[in-house]
Amino acid sequence: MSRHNEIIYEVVAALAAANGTDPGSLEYTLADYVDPTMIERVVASNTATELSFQVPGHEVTVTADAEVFIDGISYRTGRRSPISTSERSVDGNREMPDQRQLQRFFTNLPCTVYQSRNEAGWPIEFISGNCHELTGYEPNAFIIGGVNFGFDLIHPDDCDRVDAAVDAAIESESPFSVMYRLQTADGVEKNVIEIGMPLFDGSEPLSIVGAIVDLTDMNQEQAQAVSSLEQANPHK
Amino acid sequence: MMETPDGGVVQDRWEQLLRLLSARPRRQIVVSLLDAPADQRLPLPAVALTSPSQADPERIAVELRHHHLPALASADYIRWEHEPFCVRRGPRFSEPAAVMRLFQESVDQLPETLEQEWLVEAHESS
Repeated sequence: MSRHNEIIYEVVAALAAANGTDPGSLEYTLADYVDPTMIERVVASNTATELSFQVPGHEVTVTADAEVFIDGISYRTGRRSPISTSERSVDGNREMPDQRQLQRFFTNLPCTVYQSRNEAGWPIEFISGNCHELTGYEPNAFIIGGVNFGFDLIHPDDCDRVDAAVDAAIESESPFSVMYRLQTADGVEKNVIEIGMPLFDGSEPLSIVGAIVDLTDMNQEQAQAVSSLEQANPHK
Repeated sequence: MMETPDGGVVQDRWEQLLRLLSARPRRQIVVSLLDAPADQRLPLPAVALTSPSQADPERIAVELRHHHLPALASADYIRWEHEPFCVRRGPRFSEPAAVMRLFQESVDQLPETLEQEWLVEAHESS
């Protein structure tokens, strides 16, 4: 049986072990807190990704290597092992202990940071955990869930303008900034400003990295100042 | 795209149906319910076991409770209960039932590469 067929039992067994009980006695149903299919997809994906979710009393992370972490502690077949989340990277290898500080840093930024491929719709390769506040989607919705930033979030009437700003930045190998309307998962429209930079492999534009700031809560004076700045200097 | 009378989309229903039938324990449950009287509750995990000699009933019971049963129930294909642990037909059971019945009726036409026993347990599919 393949890893992704076994992972649901492994997660339940890990949660049971964390609660000091057996897998058959867990008091809630995993499917009430996460779509188990998403867990299977992460493990079947063979990509450096992971899925985190909350269940009563615990935070669970499942990596593509089928490792299960409960509150940062690794469990293998329901047994606690000494590796913690602060000692690993998303590809399952041990790493410098400040990785978690870096993740916390991204999450606490007053903006959403990302890296996307330079392809139609800008498929997301990385997006900070706080993207849920901005977009209504969890990071994995972009990475493995089929949500496309360009096609699903940018207002259709603004797409051409955003496209033009990114193309100009690639052409001039310089940063860009662009304001547009973003449509969240629950249909709310937000005004945002995105500041980004194309990354190149030689002359080949591979990725875009950047930050998106929600302008919704800015007062009129602040929004006008940002707008004037963007209009005066749209590509820097 | 053609819509169903209740506003759902037929294509979505097909994709949901095929996705839900992609796991063998779920197919086994549908076939077991198909073979039983319409209003009968069937005991779990027994009716989902594909081969008593190969399966670990405790492990399958965990997978059923936390994954397969909520998935089938979310599509209204089944209803299930924790205590006693059992399953019965749901309001949309006719959808997976029709597909599994078609498979069963056409089983002798399957190519050798799609061995019948991986669809459902042989003694229940014949």
